[in-house]
Amino acid sequence: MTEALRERIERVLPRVSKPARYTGGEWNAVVKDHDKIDVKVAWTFPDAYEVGMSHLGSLIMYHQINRRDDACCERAYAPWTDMEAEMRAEGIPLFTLESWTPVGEFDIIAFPLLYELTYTNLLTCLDLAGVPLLAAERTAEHPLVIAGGPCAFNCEPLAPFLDVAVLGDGEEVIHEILDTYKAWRDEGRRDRRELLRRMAGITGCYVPGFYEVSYNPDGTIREYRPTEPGVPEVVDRATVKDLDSIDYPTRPVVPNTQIVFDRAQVEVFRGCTRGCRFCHAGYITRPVRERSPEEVQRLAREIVRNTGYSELSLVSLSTADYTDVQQTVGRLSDELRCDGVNVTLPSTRVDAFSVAVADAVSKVRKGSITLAPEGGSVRIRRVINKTVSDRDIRDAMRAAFQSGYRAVKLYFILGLPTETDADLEAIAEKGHWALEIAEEELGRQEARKVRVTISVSVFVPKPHTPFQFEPQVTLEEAKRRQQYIKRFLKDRRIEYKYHDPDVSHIEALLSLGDRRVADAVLRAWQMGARFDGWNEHFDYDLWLRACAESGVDVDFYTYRKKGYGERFAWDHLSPGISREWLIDDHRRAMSELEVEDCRWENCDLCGVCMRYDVLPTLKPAGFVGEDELEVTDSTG
Amino acid sequence: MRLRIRLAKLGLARFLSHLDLQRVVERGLRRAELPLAFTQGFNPHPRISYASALATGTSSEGEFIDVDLTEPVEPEEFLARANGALPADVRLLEARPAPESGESLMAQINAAAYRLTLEGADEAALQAAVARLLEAEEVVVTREGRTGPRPVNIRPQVYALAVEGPGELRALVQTGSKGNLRPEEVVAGLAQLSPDLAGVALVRAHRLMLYRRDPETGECVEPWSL
Repeated sequence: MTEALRERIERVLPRVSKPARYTGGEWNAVVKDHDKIDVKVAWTFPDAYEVGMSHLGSLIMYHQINRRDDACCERAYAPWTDMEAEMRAEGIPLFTLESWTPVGEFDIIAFPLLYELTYTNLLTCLDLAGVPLLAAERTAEHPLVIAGGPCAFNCEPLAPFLDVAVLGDGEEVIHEILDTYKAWRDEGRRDRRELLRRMAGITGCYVPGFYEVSYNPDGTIREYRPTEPGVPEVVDRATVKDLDSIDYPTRPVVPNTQIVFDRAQVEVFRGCTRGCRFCHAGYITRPVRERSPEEVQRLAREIVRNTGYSELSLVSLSTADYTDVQQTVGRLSDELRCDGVNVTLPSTRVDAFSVAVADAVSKVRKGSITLAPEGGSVRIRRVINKTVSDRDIRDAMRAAFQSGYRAVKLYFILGLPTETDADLEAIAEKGHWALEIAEEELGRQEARKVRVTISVSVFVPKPHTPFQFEPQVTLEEAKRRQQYIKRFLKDRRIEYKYHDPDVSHIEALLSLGDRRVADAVLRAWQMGARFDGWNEHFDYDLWLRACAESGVDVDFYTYRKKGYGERFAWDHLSPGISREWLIDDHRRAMSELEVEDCRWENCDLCGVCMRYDVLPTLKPAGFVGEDELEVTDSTG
Repeated sequence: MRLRIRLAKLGLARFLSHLDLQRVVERGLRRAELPLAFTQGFNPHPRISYASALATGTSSEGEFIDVDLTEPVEPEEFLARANGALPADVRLLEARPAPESGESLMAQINAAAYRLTLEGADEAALQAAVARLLEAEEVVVTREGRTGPRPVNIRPQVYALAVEGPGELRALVQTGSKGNLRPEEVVAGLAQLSPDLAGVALVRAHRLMLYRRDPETGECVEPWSL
């Protein structure tokens, strides 16, 4: 069966683009004997191989499942459109790369949801797996369909398609899920509803089918009501308290073909408390939990040895904030250099210190450095709580040119709450600052070679952030503002990049949507929407038609200013931050007041630590756990 | 020290592009912790040079690479360690010490032998078409180039061609920077010479060996002797 499927796949591969996406056979891929396995999980990434293979969370979960003797995790990815067409023509089901097993034959299909524009691909994957799209139509014979990742915190636009959504950190809760599944299956795999009831009892697991939604006459939500006894009114997220206690993958799958982040990755901390008010990740992953420098170094060494990568990246939401960043980076860089391995940081904070850290590890020829002030003016940066001063920006630019960079990329968000034309002019101004500073530091002659990129994206209000109450700027206004900035860019050394805002509009719909939006997702998929996050595939008009046909008013979700009392579609999916705090913080934003980072300053009482009994853990160099402390005492 | 190695790209690994293969081999040799010599400069990488680029979808048992080492390693030991760290479908078959100076392999290689597996080919028609191709002065097929399709005469690029078995051909053709004939162009040429082969499809192309061919005498030398 499996062999025959493999032969059929081999016959279509010569006809599709990038066939190595579908062949598997990578180093460190885990192939297990299915006869000796109790629970089989198909980890199905709803985007192309090169994107899915870059996702650290997927590598972590692959390891968590495969380290169990009674379970296996195999990978599948959304086939590119040419491959999908071939698969449909030849009757090839979605298959896993480890064993060419049809995904529909697995016990559990798990979808990581990293961004909203992959939702239609999720439907493609389910459909190609031969699994009914609607959870309500699945029987005890069908796989359990689960989803996790950032978008799970408002998975309502996918609610009818999911059996279970998992909120928060997956490393520990996945074992509860597998154990629960196993127990149910061992009892005869009879009642699917019973399985879902048990899943709903696990902290972090949300079963959308167990909630009934009612609406007000004005279209807003009146109430979410659990329909099963014992199902929580508010679903809490799963939280890993100490990263050092978690088994981290030191043998990640090494791709054969080029992927987006083609390097070894060590997560140095999780969570971020900088409190940038537009940032979804900053509110759903609190508090900060650091990995100890000793552990980071050990993991880095092992991963490099087990993969053969020539680059190692220390990843987090803002690596320059890692307590021990300078020493850790320095030590690793020195150690790995002998093996021809570069250490890199994925992002640079906007200040001279961060540029210096980035510079210290950059052994490669100086290319460009990326700085993200996000807001043009001091005022708007106070509104969004991006606590970067004009001086920080200038210092960072100066440090970049001094350390040899000749290209600076500046990232900004357009359409932020309270934004005026003056804020837009301030964006353009930063480009000219970079050129002035380049001339001061390098002289007029050398400064002619400098390139400055100003990249502007359109603001998308996100659930669980203080800006969840805010509307998105309209399409017409976004276009006007994009052009307005352009007028103030006078130097041909400045490159100005912006995207058609219509993608952001649909992203906003899917971010802020409720259950009724699921009809539009299904309709768009039926009309052919695929890979909506890819420019060459995104079709705005198709989405508008899909929304119109399914009675979804896009503007209702995206352009409406929402009251502090409104019941949102995600209010029962909790990352631990209270509504009251978000309201307070929104008020602070409107008054242009900043909040401090609780790692170094006062606690602002966002509530996460207290709710989940988990404290921010900062682990400076030489940190020793209590056990080790005893040993140290006795020996010395 | 420099080792010359014969390398195979088999099974599903045939769908790797040339860049993919380079990536896989480099990472495997790094994992094997062999004493690789690195290039100088900002972005050091192991000094591994390829005799020829192999197309995506084509398998091979006749690729050659030269690997520079900082200290001597016995060829047998090198193969054992490297193969233990490479994916199953990429194999190092044979290693011998190689001269450290002189022209690069890539500059010297100009011919390749292939085994081509066809589907839908009538045996007699195939025999006839091969004979006709070898007799012809000129066989023009369409080549897809960077600037679009253009007609080319492939006859001078075919050095030898024979039917090996049912639906199986063996071909010796020009390869390398001075001119490169692709297996599907050989099949296109045959299909053109015989109407009976119109529906023929190339299902597998497998490279057997690379050579330096003397244009005067037609004598072929394997990379081991270069």
